[in-house]
Amino acid sequence: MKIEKEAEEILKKFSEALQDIPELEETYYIVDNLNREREDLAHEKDSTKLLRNSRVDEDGNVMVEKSKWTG
Amino acid sequence: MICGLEIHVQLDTNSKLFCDCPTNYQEAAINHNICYVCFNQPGAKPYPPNHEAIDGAIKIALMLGCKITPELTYFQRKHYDYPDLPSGYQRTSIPIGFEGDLNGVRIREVHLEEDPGQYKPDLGIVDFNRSGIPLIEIVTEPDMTSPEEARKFLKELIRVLEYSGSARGEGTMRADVNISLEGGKRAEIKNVNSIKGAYKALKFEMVRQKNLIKRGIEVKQETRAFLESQMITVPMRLKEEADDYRYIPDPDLPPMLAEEEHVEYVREHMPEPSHIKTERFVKEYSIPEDHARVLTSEIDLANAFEEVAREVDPKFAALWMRDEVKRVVYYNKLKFKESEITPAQLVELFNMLLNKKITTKAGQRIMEKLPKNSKMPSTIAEEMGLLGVVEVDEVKRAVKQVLKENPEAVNDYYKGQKKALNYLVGQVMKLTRGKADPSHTNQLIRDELEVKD
Repeated sequence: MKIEKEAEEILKKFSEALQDIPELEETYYIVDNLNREREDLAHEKDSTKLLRNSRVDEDGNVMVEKSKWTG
Repeated sequence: MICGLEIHVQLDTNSKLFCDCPTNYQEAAINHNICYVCFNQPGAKPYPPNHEAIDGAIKIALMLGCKITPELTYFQRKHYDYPDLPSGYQRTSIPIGFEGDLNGVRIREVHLEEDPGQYKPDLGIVDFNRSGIPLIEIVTEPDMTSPEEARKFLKELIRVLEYSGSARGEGTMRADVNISLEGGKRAEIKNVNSIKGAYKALKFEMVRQKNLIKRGIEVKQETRAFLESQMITVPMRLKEEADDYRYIPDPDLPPMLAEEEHVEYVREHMPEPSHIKTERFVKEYSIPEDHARVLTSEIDLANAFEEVAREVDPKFAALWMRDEVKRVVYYNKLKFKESEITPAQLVELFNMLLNKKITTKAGQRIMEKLPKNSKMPSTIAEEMGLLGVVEVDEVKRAVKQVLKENPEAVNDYYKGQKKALNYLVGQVMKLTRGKADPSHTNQLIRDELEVKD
């Protein structure tokens, strides 16, 4: 398949390009925040809007595919 | 066989780990406790982590004898594709605690993660109320060598978690059980929801793998699911390795550092873990280990025992609390705390017994009246007419009267019917209003009948 071949080509070139990148120290965080925590407070929710686009059964469960391993 | 466990238990917080949705998922209507964060809608960012959850994880790690990492910890995204996970990744922390020990089983690590939704694979439905509730994951080294050992470990672990006051109990437990036999490969069993389930799953898997090895069939490295209704395991999917999860640090969450001062504060304020308490009770009160284990089965029972033991002979108190308090509490389907039995009530009752103001039988009857009753044992004893111990002569007189009034039971006894003796003892107890000692009465009746014989 043409797309598959092209994808392989892109990956190959990408790998080659990466070879020239020097070892870098990991810098995960753009902000220097530490131990930011919040109080354990709960608030009531209204999920009506959230579930508008979901396929929901009469009990309110979101319907998804059944697993194959349960036979 | 060697076996290691990964145990997940929910932490007892009011709100979820990364949002302020309530965590009462069992009471709430299906898919009610959800928001853009735990439903992972595009653009939704997590809130900062829940302080109670972080502290709970540190406390549990310390109670399991773990070292708390002095390095920065952070949450990672663990990617996998499953219907219970709308984001496609689960946020899971790197280890908060490591190198612990619980009764000889090494704890490899303790970390924090978020619970996925509740997916019913056979029906293809999901309730996301649970999604995002903080979970503690405890990973052991493969130090258990039988299903029995694994069961014992899990029982003790649940006790430690209950003692912590930060975790929900066995009801929220989910364990992944890793098992491998010599000559086979490691299988991971998921879907194990109880201690009994873990035991049954291990038993089944042990037999299954042994049979495969015996027949020369290769045991595949795989993830299997435990079907609790049938008590069997079935293949689920090929086992992922760490690479398959494509872990990356979650850039939406800042790192954490457990400061030494704070860790020490948690250590000072955490309860003494149940397994350490058991060892201490044995040494400090010179009581047998099985007594100590029962007494430490609930933190409130253990605390009550220590209060009682300051006033009454600890060995006597331990025996009565192990047998009678537990019997009555269990019969009423209560936890000791729920029974509202106070140490003051127990001290008075035990002193009445030790000072022979009441009989053992009367003590047992008073104990039965104690749950959810604020009256003191002396008041109960007075109301029920249980005060006083009958003198031997009076019991003898009662025995003679009962034998005279119950010739049929006497005949049955001579015919070899042992039940007749119990009936006669019961009649004497009735006549003496429960103040005679049952075992002594039993002996007196037998002596009397043998003389007649």
